[in-house]
Amino acid sequence: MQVEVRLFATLRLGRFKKRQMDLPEGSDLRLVLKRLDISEDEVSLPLVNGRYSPLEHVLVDGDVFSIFPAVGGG
Amino acid sequence: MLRDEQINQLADGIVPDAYARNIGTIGRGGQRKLLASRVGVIGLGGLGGYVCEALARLGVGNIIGVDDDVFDETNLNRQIVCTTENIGQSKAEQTQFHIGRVNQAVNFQAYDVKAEALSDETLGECEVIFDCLDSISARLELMARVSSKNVPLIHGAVAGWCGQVCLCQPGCDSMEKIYARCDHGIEETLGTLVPAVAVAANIMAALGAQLLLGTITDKDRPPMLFFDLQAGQWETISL
Repeated sequence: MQVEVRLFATLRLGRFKKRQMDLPEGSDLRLVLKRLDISEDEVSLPLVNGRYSPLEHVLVDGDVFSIFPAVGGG
Repeated sequence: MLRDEQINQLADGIVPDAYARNIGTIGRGGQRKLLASRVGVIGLGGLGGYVCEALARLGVGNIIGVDDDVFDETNLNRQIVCTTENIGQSKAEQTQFHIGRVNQAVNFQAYDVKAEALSDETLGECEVIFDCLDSISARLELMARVSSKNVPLIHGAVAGWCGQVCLCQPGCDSMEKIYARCDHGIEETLGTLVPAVAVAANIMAALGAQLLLGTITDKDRPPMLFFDLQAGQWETISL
């Protein structure tokens, strides 16, 4: 299946801004993070189709998975 | 007191000149509401300074400002109250002084203490709390305390060219979601730039003013916003 992955801020460095990924059926968000070598503690907001989703969320064909890092400065 | 005089003038149909350019949007009744309001700004660094500035110019009548820190030279790049003349001085006292020069009708109460030292009673007296802190653990602790007092919290955070703003109603789990896996943010690498600080802070102030005016309700609660001023991206997020 095809899933669009969007990375934000520092997560783009050395990776990409937006890319189509070919994933096996039943893939969850953790699998995508592993493939992209993004550790879970770098991920503040995992969104599927604009909505916050837990890392065990299973993706389906055509989903858009957006990944935001933690921002905490004041 | 000047604030009470202005509230009475507005009731009589007289608009003090300081608010002449507010009235077309918020009306005399709205201006009276803001002047009678009480809010808390927790953290008086980058975000907190700009939030206080906007609230004072909007005419929010009672502001509690909390920070136990003093200004240093690393604050000059983004903290509006920090100047080369007040390095080493209390952020709370200097913000009080600055706000007094912007709008003398504002009752700015300066608390030169850590957020956790502010009493539950003082927090509970506020109609809105602004989370302008710079530590994730302190932010989560503040959200828990504010929620237990049934007060809405407006969260803002920045790093580099990026920022985020979220309205958290009492009992909502947005902050736990945002920081579920992370105990530090990318600002530790990127630092914080003034455009992102000013944008995030002024969105926070706008949300706060609209909560006070009653123009935001639970039904039309805005989603979380994440922006990247370098990439020109504005993302809305459903938590």
